Amino acid sequence: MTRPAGTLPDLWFSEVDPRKDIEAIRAALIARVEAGVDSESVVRALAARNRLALAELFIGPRADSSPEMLALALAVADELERALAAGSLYRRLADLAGPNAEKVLMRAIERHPSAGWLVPLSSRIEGREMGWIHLMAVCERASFLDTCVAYAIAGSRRGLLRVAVATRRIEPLAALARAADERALILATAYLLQDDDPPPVGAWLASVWGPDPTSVLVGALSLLHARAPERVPLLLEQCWRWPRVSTAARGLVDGRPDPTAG
Amino acid sequence: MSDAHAPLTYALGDPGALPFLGHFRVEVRGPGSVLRVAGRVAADADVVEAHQAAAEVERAVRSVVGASTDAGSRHALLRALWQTLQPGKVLERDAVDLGLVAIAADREGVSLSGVGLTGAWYALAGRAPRPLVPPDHPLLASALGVPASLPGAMTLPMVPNLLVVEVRHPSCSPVGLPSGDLRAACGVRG
Repeated sequence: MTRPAGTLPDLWFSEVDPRKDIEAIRAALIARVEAGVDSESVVRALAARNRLALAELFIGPRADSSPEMLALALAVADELERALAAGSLYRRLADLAGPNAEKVLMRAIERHPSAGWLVPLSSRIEGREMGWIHLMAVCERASFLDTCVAYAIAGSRRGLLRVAVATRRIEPLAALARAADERALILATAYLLQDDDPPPVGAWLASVWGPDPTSVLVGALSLLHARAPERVPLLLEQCWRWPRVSTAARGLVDGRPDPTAG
Repeated sequence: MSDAHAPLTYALGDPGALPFLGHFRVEVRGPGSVLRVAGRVAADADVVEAHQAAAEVERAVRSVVGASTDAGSRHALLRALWQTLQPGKVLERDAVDLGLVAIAADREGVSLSGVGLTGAWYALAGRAPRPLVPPDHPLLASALGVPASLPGAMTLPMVPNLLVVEVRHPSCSPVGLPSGDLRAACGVRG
């Protein structure tokens, strides 16, 4: 079947054969979405008749990767998930989406906020920032800590740091501590203390890292001393429990080397 | 024994997201003596409150050498520790949820005392940790909180390199020794 010129009415889609006329349907759908015609109901009706044809349209080898078709695919993601496992589906859509892959990630998170496959998907889409979009979306959920830990284990650092700073929540730090990443904790501590109203980072570290987090605090102190010396008193205010932090601070002011270095 | 030598003394972290909530660890030295204390307080408090409670215990322990009648004696140090931690003495909170192990050493030997413990293990250099006492030993029988009468102390027949305890938790069951990195499980880094 060849497609007549112009956009086709809903009725046309109900009369074609979803398998045999798949290319005509594809062309007609592309024409409709490009013309801005709402096509979700048409696609859902097609799915009811033949789900595999729907998968062929949106994630098959000849799937169109235009932003409009991607938007339509994401709108009917629930139908597509019946044809392909969710993890594989969103990975394929992300590959098709190219620069718009973040939209795919957001839709995947919306539909499956606690799914483990979101971590590799985020890594594929966000690269070094992996975790940022997902964690910001789920920070009010009870599973937030588990999700942070999953990203920490997968190697997320920048994403977790950004989330720690943006949310002022302890879970990203707890996850970094669980991954035993002292360097990342130092960075997080220094960033958090640059906030106008910093959270109780010293108390947080004692809870997640161990009762004597002096090495982390002295590392953060060195960073702050170099980048934001006006914030050093804030750190010291929070670290009265660990006298070696104050000693290190006095050493920095006097130009003595960091006693914990090396 | 020519000089005081005590094992490194740690408390295992707790299950959950905040394994060291309310944990404290402190060492003080007297003339020819050393006192090492590790434990937990305020396990059900929020992060800031637990941090303050733990800091308060650490400060109290640091005052023990000054409060002891004979800071060179391990027995006097342990006695002074328990007296210091009695309600109404130094701590501002009642510390009914306090659990700790205290190791004191002098030139004569090493003694250990504790409350609220569910497990205690020792390790010699290069060896796997072993239980310090059988499960029904009085050391592992006390509830959390400083008792009105001074707890007993046991003298160790040898000086291990490491002593690790598990502190009773108000709402979690004991889990015992972890299979992975023991120092990290106690919040000891580097």
